[in-house]
Amino acid sequence: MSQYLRGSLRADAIAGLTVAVMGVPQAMAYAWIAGLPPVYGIYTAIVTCAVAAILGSSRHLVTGPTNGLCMVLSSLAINLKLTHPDIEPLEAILLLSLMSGCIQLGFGLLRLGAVVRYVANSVVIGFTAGAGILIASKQLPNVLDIDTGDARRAYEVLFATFQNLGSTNKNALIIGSLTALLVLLPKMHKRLARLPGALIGVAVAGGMSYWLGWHEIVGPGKVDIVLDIEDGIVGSLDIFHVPELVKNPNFGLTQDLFAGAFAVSLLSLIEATSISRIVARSSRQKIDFNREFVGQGVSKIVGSFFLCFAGSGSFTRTAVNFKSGGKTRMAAVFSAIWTALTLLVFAPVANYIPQAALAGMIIVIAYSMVDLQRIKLSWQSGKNSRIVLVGTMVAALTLPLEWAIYIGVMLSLVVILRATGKTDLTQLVALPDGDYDEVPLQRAAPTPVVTINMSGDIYFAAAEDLDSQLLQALTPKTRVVVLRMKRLRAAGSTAMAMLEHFWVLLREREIYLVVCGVERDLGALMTSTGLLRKIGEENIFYADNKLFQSTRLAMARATAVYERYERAHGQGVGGLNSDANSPVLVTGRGLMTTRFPLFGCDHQTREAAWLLTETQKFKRSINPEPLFLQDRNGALFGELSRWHVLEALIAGSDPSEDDGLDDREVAELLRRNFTRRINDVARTDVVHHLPDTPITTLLRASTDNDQAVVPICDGDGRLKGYCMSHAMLAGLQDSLTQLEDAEAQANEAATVDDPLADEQGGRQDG
Amino acid sequence: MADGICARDLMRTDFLRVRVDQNLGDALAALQGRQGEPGMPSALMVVDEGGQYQGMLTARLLIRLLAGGHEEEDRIDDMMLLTVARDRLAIAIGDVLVADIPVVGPADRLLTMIRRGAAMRLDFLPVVENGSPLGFAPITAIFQAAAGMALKPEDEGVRFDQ
Repeated sequence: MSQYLRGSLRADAIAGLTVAVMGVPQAMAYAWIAGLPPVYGIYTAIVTCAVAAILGSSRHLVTGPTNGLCMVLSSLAINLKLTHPDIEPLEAILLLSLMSGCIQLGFGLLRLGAVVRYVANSVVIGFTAGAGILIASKQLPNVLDIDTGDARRAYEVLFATFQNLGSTNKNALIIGSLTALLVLLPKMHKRLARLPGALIGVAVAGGMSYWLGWHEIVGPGKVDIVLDIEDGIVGSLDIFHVPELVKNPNFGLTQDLFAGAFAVSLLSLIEATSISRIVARSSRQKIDFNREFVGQGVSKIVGSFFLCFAGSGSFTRTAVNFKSGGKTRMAAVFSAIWTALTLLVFAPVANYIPQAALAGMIIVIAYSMVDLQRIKLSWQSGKNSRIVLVGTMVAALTLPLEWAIYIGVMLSLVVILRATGKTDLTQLVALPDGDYDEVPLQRAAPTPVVTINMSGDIYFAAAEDLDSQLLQALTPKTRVVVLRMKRLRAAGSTAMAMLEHFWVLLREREIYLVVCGVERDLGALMTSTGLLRKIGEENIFYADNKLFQSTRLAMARATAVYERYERAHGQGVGGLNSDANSPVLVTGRGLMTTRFPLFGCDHQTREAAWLLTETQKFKRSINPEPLFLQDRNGALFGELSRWHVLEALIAGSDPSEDDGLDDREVAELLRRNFTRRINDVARTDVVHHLPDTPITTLLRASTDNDQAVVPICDGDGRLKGYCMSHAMLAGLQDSLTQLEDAEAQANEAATVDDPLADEQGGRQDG
Repeated sequence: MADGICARDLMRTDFLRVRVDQNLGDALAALQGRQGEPGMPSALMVVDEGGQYQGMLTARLLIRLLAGGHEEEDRIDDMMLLTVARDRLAIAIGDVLVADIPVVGPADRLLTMIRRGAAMRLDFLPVVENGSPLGFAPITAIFQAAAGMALKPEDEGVRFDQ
């Protein structure tokens, strides 16, 4: 506490005063936009501001009346007057504030803070711009002091204004224009930016009107002042008031108000969170949105018992608070205190503010709401952004304003779904060096094995029609499809149904399915839905941290399946899915690592030592990778392991002297053989094999010749890759699993009538 | 003798243990379960029921135990090799443990590690103290340490004009 008093109290008090000076005229004007006497705006700027600051999370957010929300309240009040003419608008608005506060509190307590993230920025921009145009068009007759009769909708008001232009009150026009000009003053020059334009505007215009006695004129030329509005402004804070509709509930009205209350809560949350997020970026504060929701909700609930209408985070007042050096949430509380003091002290003066001055000020605010720069940015951000922007703005101008929020939110959700509800399909084409090319789905040359890479989302919206898209990759040559499903998100039952349907479609075409890159969650889903059993466990390859490892295994499986098909086809028996009772052995192609350093065989051990050290520096793996040597023709010469190099380095030294050596002497010992040629050191009797060598042969090479790695070469003896022990062990494990499956199937086949029951189909029938 | 790099400095203490009474299938599952974790040694420490060091298993040794040992003259076919390998999964690790795996103590120095490790050229050297396994010294770390000591700035690079 004492730390606060020393460090932040003064800064918060000054920032609060600055906010209050700027905010009081704004609050009065916004209340007027909502169709309420200006004093209610001041009440809202006091109570909701203080409560939201105390309970909220942002250090700088200033809550209170906002232009957009007030316009929605005005729209709701107008509609309410048509459906419930007997209800006092103030009471309805208080009930509405209470309801929207409860909704927001519920959002906060249920920790739904993240929901707001799904509302596009274009909604706020479009809505604000639309509301700005509406506000300006409705304030125009107030500046001109023209009576628009029963006109309520913006276009009706505009039409009536232009019809009655002849009855313009020139004095009101002067006051309104002067105020607008003075409000604009700080925006005209950087040096004037810190001036409270709104306060100066209403003070000067009000002073001029008072000095000229325009407010006292009887008949044409009279400038209406705040005092002429019912009640005027009373310098009192005796404002506790239980809303009539709480004391005497009207369930029909409450029901009618619910959609509006929800829209108000949503808009208020969007405003408050987006403003606090923007300021937090500068202040480096982490915002707890759920706590912010609670703060906003409770401030409305409490406020509705103190004659406050629904407020939200004000961008301008929040920015002023931050720029004025506000350090803690107490700055907003101070702003409420200063506003309350202003009300108590200056109420008699405030009553003489001309209504035309408020209207002039509002028109400037409305003009700033149509933020052309942000509209342009949103327009240029792509088609989706444009749809949301234009949709929301058009809705704001043509429909009741609360509907514009719903439409904007709905449009942004549709856009999200459109953007994410898509599974990207490409084909992977294996290259001779073991790498893959990724090409568009239908651009690959027809091959018997088609590898389709699926990425992105595969939830219900994305899964729709995906099976028919997958079929587009098939050609008459296709015999096996490998589906790579790594990095697929949001797979659900619809995706599983789609995959099953695709599998059925393939079976009808006598095409075999192998699936790889299956993540743990997806595997569990496939197991629980029975799809894994149908496709066959031996045809599922799980994702590995090693890039393309499972794809390679799957492609090896696919190739083997295809070769079996070819053999069977040549013998004229069965099809691809028949006679799977022998395990398909993984080959070197599926197990080999294709990235490796190759080194000439004429180098020195020093160079090999340096190269091996350098290649290891950036590796996380502590498992050693070998260095292969090639001769001058590019053929494999031998393998140089780290042990070979170390043995060469210590060769000729006396072990009995080791203990007496210090580090410098050890280093010298190791350097003695640095110039030795590596072709004398490397192992040159390594057995290598072709890429299509089955795992069993590779294992024999490893055990018979005691090789930790088995090089894989082409027909000319050029290295294409190598199989490490752990890869061969994985291949052995895979082969053993297949052996189990093949034996199980053989046993099953022996017990059923049809000995040629197909492998994948047999599972389905089972 | 001056203090230098020793096994304690190079060893990785995050390793998996299997007991001698577990079978080779358990060892295979444990070893394969660790694949994809780049910082983890692909080796298993074999211990008795009291947790005392009994030996080590690496992928290479496990391949030898599962698929090796077939004499040239009684060469078996692929299916038989797999069938035999599958049968061997049930063998207790203790019954087939490779003898004479070189080990080092935590205070053993670099040259000692190199000399002992070169005997079998295994990827990992078990570090054992009073019968308790402490960790594995990977050949990659041993090599980096040795090369780091030996190489001077002027030794960097490779000449291609040879």
